[in-house]
Amino acid sequence: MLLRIEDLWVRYGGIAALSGISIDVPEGETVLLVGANGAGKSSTINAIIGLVPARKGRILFQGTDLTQIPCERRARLGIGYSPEGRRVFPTMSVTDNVLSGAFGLGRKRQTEALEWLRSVFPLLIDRDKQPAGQLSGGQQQVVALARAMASFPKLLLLDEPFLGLAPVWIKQIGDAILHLRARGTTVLMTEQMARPALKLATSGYVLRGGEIRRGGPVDAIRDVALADEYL
Amino acid sequence: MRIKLLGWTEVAALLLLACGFVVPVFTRSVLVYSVLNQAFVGVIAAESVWIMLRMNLLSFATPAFMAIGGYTVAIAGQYNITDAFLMTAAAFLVPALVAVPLGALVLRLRGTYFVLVTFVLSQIMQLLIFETPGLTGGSNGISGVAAVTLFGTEMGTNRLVLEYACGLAMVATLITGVLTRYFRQHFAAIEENEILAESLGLVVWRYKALGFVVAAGVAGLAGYSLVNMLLTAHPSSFDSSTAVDFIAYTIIGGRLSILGPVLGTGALVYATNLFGTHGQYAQGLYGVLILVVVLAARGGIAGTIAALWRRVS
Amino acid sequence: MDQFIQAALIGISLGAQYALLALGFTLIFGILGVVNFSHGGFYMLGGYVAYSCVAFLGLPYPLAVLVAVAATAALGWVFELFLLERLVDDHLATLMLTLGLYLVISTGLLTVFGPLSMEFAFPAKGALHMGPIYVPRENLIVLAVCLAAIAALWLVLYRTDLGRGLRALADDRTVAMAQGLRPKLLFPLAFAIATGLAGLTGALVTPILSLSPGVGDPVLATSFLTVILGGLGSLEGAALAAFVVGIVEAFSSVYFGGSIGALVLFVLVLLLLVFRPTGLLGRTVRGA
Ligand SMILES: Nc1ncnc2c1ncn2[C@@H]1O[C@H](COP(=O)(O)OP(=O)(O)O)[C@@H](O)[C@H]1O
Ligand SMILES: [Mg+2]
Repeated sequence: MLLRIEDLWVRYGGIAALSGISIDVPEGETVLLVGANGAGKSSTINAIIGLVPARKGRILFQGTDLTQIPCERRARLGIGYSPEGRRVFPTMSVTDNVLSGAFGLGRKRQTEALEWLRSVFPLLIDRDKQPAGQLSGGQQQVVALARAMASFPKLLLLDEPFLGLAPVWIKQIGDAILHLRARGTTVLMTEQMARPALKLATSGYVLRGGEIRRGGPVDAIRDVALADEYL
Repeated sequence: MRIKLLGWTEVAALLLLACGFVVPVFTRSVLVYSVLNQAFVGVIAAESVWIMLRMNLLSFATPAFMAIGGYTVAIAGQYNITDAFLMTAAAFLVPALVAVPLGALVLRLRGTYFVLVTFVLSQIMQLLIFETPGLTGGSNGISGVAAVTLFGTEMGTNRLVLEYACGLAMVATLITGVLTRYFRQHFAAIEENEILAESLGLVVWRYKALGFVVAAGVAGLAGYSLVNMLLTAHPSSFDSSTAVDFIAYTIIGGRLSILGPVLGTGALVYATNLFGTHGQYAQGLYGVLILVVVLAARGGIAGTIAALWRRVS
Repeated sequence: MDQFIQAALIGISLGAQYALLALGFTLIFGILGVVNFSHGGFYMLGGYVAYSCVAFLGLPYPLAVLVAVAATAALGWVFELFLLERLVDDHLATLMLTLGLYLVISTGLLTVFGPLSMEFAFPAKGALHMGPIYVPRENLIVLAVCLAAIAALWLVLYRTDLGRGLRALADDRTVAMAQGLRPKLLFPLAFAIATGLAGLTGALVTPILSLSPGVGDPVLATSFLTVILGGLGSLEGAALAAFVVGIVEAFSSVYFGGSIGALVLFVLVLLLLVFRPTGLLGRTVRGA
């Protein structure tokens, strides 16, 4: 198991956003967290990467408990992160955004990462010098994805990659995620839109009100996930 | 709900200042008088800084408004207007009126940008004084300002000057105290989170403008007191670098209550005089104390005393 | 005509000095969001360290300049790491800290070196004559160093990992940290670069102007002027604005005398701050 979350609690002030969830992310799979707005998807992702503290529980990444490690060190362990709403660095060029994800890896690895990502996303070549803040939402999502992948992470965290995107872009981003999966990257992604996301995942969990409603292989959660989508 | 005009901190500050009236009973030392005079001027200027700090705004513009107040009085003196009440009103109102359009301009800025704009304002004021020799005497200033008259008595002796400065400091404290006490919650909401306060329906600009205008008037009183003490209005009295002193008095004294600027000014003016003729070294002490307060004792002198008091009782 | 050219030349060399000063100041604001009131202090410190190296240790001047840069950069690094970093998100607190440091530095220098100005002369004397126009050699050297420093800073910021990391932290601290960028490592470096630049300016310029414990105040005011004019946080803007300020000052002192030029500039800066905080060039800047 690459990532194992055991009985994770997250609170903001007095309000519990996550009430003891447990999640398994096996090596090489794409695991989906679906749930409506406010279900606790971002809280889960942010607890893994360290942006919110875990009140209780363990987050085991390759056997080490991430809750004992400060935020800035976690990425180094091999975790890539694409935040909700993309949050590219707006004043930096597209290329610098991508390279910032490979900070400190040395020139050789950086060039390697850039060349590989440019072959996957030709957009990175077309727009290389443009400030990322000027791009469209879909283009920014590509940049955020490439930035997260630039350090060749073992685990990729994607927080609502389809948020606010047009259907063509949802298709493109979906294809990119499939491509990464084919390459062996382990992905933990969240989505409100269950339908396109279910096509990408191998297994998943349905979150509601900070608790897991159902978890298992994609086919086992499909009905609950789709029912939730229309709530 | 009964609205309180003054709390115990304001009363304590006023009582502390009132001690100035008692001092001449015990001593006629010119040195003591001079130190006290400086302290009274400093207290008023620091209170001007403090009003703005109540709204989380740090102002370097105090010397600029002091200059307006001070020169107003000096120029009026040239026309033989010396009545104390008239002068006090003018020293408050003229800078306050100037602050109305200025406030409309600069209060759109927050945080760092507000600090910068007030810094620029005090630079502009200084350059303006040099560039308007007809009005302000330029680099020579206006010397031989006539002493004020109170009920027909000329406040000419050292003792009367001291008592007058003491009275002015109490007036400024009263104005500052009433303003900040009356609008305590409004200012606190702005200090805490201006955007949130605005979204909760507080008309933020109104209170910020009011604070800015009163702070300008209070600074004007400080300028008046300074000119009255020196009987000269000179550009060096209103140098933009003096803003740092008033900020130091306020921060080191403590920004939580009006006792902060009063105690801070008292302590630092006293300490500065311990350096004797090497007064410029006092700046190093201010520097160290500022570092200590910001890093370790957020409440400053007043806050630390209050914390100790709570522990004891 | 000669007078015109002469004024322009003075303006350009003033501009070079101001650019060196403003770059460090704007860098700290752009990356850390801190208004550095101790900038003038590091300028003075640079001057005094260089002076001491030459006068007491007998070092050659270029080496003394390097020592000054190293010393000011080291102090900046320590100050950021141990004091500023704890409160880096509280703009009032950081401002007060830098103000406190400035008072400590200037009083320290006053205590050690006394209030009088130092006999510290630029070693390269003489001037280039071109007909009636002449340019002091020292000004040419400052101009050359300034251009080199601007180029070096640009390379660091836009062509290295450190620069990318710093700009990422300035753009979105949270995401940058989640990517593994460590402010505790990078911010002290940025601060050290900036204070080192101030020290470099001090070491180069105080021999031309003057070296006494009071010279930090006008330096701060000029830095403000330049940096606001260029758009707070913008490097290109600051460099350009520095030359504008230098040239305006030179011409106004030649043709009008007094401080009219400075007054006009400050009023312009006031209006810019209020109506267009992105500066003359309209660069995007960070929010306060
Ligand atoms: N910074 C925060 N402060 C307070 N409450 C928050 C914060 N972030 C999220 N919440 C609350 O926690 C719950 C879960 O939020 P979140 O994890 O963002 O859900 P999702 O990503 O599934 O939309 C929600 O009820 C939300 O209102
Ligand atoms: Mg979310």
